[in-house]
Amino acid sequence: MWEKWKKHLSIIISIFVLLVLMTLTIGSHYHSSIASFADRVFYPIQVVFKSLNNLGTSALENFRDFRNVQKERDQLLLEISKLKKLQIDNEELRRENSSLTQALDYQRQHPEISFAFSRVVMRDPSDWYQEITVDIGSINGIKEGMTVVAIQDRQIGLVGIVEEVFKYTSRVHLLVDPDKNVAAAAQVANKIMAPVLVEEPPNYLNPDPDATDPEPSTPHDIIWYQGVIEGSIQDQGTMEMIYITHEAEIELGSPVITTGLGGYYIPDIPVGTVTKLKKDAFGLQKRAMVKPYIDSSRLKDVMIITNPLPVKIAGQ
Amino acid sequence: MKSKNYLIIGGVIALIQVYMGQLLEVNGIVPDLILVYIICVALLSGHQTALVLGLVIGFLYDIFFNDFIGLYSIFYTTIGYFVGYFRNNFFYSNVQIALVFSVLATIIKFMFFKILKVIIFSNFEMVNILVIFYTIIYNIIICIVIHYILVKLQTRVENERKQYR
Repeated sequence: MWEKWKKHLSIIISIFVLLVLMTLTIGSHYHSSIASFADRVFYPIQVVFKSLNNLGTSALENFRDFRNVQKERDQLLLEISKLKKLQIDNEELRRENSSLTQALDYQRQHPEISFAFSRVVMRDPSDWYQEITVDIGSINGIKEGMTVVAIQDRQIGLVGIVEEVFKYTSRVHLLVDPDKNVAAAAQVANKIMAPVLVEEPPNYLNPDPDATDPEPSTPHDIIWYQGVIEGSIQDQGTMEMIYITHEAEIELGSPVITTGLGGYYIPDIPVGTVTKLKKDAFGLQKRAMVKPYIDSSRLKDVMIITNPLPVKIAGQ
Repeated sequence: MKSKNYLIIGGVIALIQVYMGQLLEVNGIVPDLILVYIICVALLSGHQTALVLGLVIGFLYDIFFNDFIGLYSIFYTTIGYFVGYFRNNFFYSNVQIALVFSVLATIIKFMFFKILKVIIFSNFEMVNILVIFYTIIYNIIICIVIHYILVKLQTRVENERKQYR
């Protein structure tokens, strides 16, 4: 029996001694004095390990900070992308607002003309200058043959005519399309004229104190030469005016407007300005290259003139 | 390897546990390096070495970090002794045995400390089971590392000894 327990004598004694120590030190001041002595003895080792710990902790904190910074960066990037989207939306709304304000202002200046405002919703990418689809249709009173105009940079200009009307959308044939040959009778002035711009709406928030009323326009001795305007084959997006008499003395930059003849377009709609003049093969007629006021490639909002309608003479 | 060397390594591990435990902390869980080390030493070197190791480290731990002497020293001494005593029943250099003992010792530690706290301080606060679970997992990971290092060290020392002979 003794032999059996003798083997475990070491652990029995250890536990016994520790239990005695435990009983002695629980709730007594012995422990604190032993602890303070041990603390003094082990102080150098403590210093070394504490500094190592501080080093490791600061490295760990730096790493955590780095991860936090990465997370914050990701969040900020997300926020920036959201803000950019918002900015783009704002820009779009501002542009749309400006365009519609100008259109309304034009309508105020020309009360005899009625407009239907619409937005370009579809465009054939294979033939950009052929046609556009707008978001109003027969339900809005749109009819085939109505003249379509737009305002860009405060300048109104001809866009085309309504070719096909559906219930909610309409297809507009662009004037700059050379394929269909829907030419417009037009007239070109012999002189450069002051551009007829849509008036800027008054800025009530920040009125300009130096602003003065524009000078009243003086009557000019203008001669209008008639011709036919069609989309240019060579330079897409521009137009050519043909059948101009060879006697016509036209300055570059002269305005081109519709005559209303032929019954396709209503008269006096600005089309563009002359950029180049050349004679045809036999020198009998002149041909003018016309840069349209409206850049068809950046059409977003258009106005359909619902009244007056182009007048077709019986038999045309 | 000599018991003296185990004691030195144990001292270093105890200092790491005490002063650098913050670096090992993951979500409030800290592994018990000393416990794992004592188990590994007990399996590799026997119950007498483990007893001395448990007694010395546990005693120092009690002096520095406990309100009284005996809690850690009794636990580490007893665990080291019993694991070392039963080592011959297993293929003790096998890491799985060390892992099993680590798991059991971790559970016993929590129970032992709880019982002692109840007896001495009448502290009936419940122990969070999840804390025990994650500590066990952490101890298992630490055990694999410490066991691997100790086995490598022991093999190296034995090879050197054979060369001298």
